[in-house]
Amino acid sequence: MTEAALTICLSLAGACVGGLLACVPGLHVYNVLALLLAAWHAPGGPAAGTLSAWAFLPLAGAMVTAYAVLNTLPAILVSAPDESTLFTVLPGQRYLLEGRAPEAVSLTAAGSAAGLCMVAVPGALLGPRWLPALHAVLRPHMHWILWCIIAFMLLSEWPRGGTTGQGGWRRLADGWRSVGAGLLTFLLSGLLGFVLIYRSPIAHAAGFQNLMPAFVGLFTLPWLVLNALAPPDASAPPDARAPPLPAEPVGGAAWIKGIAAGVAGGGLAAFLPVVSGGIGGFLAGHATALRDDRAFLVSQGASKSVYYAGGLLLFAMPGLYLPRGGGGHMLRGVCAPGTWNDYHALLASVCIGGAVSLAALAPLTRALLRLAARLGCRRLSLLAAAVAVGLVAAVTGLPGCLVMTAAAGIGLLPPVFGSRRMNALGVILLPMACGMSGVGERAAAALGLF
Amino acid sequence: MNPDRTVSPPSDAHCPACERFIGPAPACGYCGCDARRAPLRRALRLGALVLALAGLGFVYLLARRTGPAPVAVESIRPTMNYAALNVAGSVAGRPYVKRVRGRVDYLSFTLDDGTGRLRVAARAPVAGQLVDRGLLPRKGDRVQAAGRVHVSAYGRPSLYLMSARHLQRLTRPEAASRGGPAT
Repeated sequence: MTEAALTICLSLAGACVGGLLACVPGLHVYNVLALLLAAWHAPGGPAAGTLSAWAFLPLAGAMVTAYAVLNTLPAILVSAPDESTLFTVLPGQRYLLEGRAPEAVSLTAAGSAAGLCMVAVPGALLGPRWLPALHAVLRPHMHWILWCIIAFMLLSEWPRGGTTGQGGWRRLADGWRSVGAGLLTFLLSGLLGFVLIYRSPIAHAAGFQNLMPAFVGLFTLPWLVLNALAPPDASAPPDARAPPLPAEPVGGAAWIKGIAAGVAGGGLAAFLPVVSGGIGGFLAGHATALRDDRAFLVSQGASKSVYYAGGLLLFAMPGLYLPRGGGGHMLRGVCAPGTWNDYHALLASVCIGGAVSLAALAPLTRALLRLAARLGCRRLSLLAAAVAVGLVAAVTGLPGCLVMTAAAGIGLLPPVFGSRRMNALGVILLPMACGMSGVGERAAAALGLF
Repeated sequence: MNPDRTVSPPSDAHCPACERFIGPAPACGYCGCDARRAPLRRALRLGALVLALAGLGFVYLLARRTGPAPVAVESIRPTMNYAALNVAGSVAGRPYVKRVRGRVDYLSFTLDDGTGRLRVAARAPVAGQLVDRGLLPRKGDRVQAAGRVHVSAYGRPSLYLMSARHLQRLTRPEAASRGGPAT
């Protein structure tokens, strides 16, 4: 089989796997990539010589891209987002309750399609020329850029209570409740991150999945637990057979604003270390002052596709080879792209993954709506929680389950106290920002981790 | 039937007793009822707080009891990427030290534990601390290094020191060569 045919076959296979994985609430593509990686290196596995490590590049490229496009489905239809789709839940929920969930899915997917087009054409053509120089210039400044992002995240948290009632301590406490919960979430998740990075209790044999239990606990489980505890009428999905409501038209300016904001946010998240798709979308939303729900959904779709696909492309980009995000770091242990050929193969897999997932969007939306109607969101959430917990237990064992439980407690603080869930990203932001500023060791020593 | 309630069903914004709209107020201004959030939400808040603090405490205690795992170089697998490991062996060559504008930016040396070879490296500021404190090993020294392991796509492992105190010299043989670091 020629290399081109192999790339197409692996990309199609990766797109199918990534697309199906994206429909399972709470399951992240990087968790499954990690399992594939473990199987790859198992005695007698493909790493033993049956298949070239290069094959992992198009397979992972299409998997991650398909996941980035289709993870909108559980985020909107079952309210079970991953970190990159956090912000689509609230407007998505409104659309869901109004019986217009397919419209919300379409808007987000249209944003994803636009984001992928920006990655595949101008991004892929101009990236190898500009990004290596930009990276060389920005590299010594990354630490303070990261601190600025953290400061903006925390300072933009606003009090949501304390506006009514008689003045006094009770009203003051009410006013500080959501802000305090946000700060506490950031601090506790940051401490958890310090423990996991400097002295992890996870067994060394599963070191490549050191942060997985924390991410499952911080982002996946709280949504699923709250879904399972919600009253049945609050989580009931709309009837899949009901005729769709007429879609509200989206103006040209809203499209342009949404796509521009999403591409800028996703690009920033893909390029800067530690900054994730959720933070990128958040920064872009603030920078462009998006108020329109439709433009907002478009921007979130564009942001996550640029973050996932663009971040992976940076890993194979000639002159850069920058591993960003979980995908790049995992692939780094399997293959070392170094030629234009590798870059083009990864680019092709991103395009194929995007095309297949966009083609599968409508049937998968209908199928997931039917499944949610048959099983109910509560049962589906419990099932997804069981899958997530089983995966963590299988990969990281009992210590991983303990980390996941602690992280779930921290991840539950934002929804029950009414602050932003993004604060839980302190798990990587705080230790990495300290490490990049040269104070990570001192902070870890002060915490008694050395 | 309460005349104030016309369309919306009772929610957190309505008094649980008289069902009048009270917004986020903790007590109903009409009947004085304690209108703080529903019991399930209150229990969730308390549960989340206890789980977060107690869970983090247990993870911390468990981590304090778990140090970097001692391993032989030949047993390092790609799935151990980013794990904290502890390797003891002899320094196989002169350490390489890279300086940028007079400051130590990076150093590395090869460690041989008898089962295989491993590159031990440190970036700034750890690399600078090792040089400043005179902790840089010489060829033939037997050392113990603890750090985070990175396995390359070609299967070659490297150990990155997280702190200067993670490199300990165990013995220095008399016959060790006296070569200084290569720069």
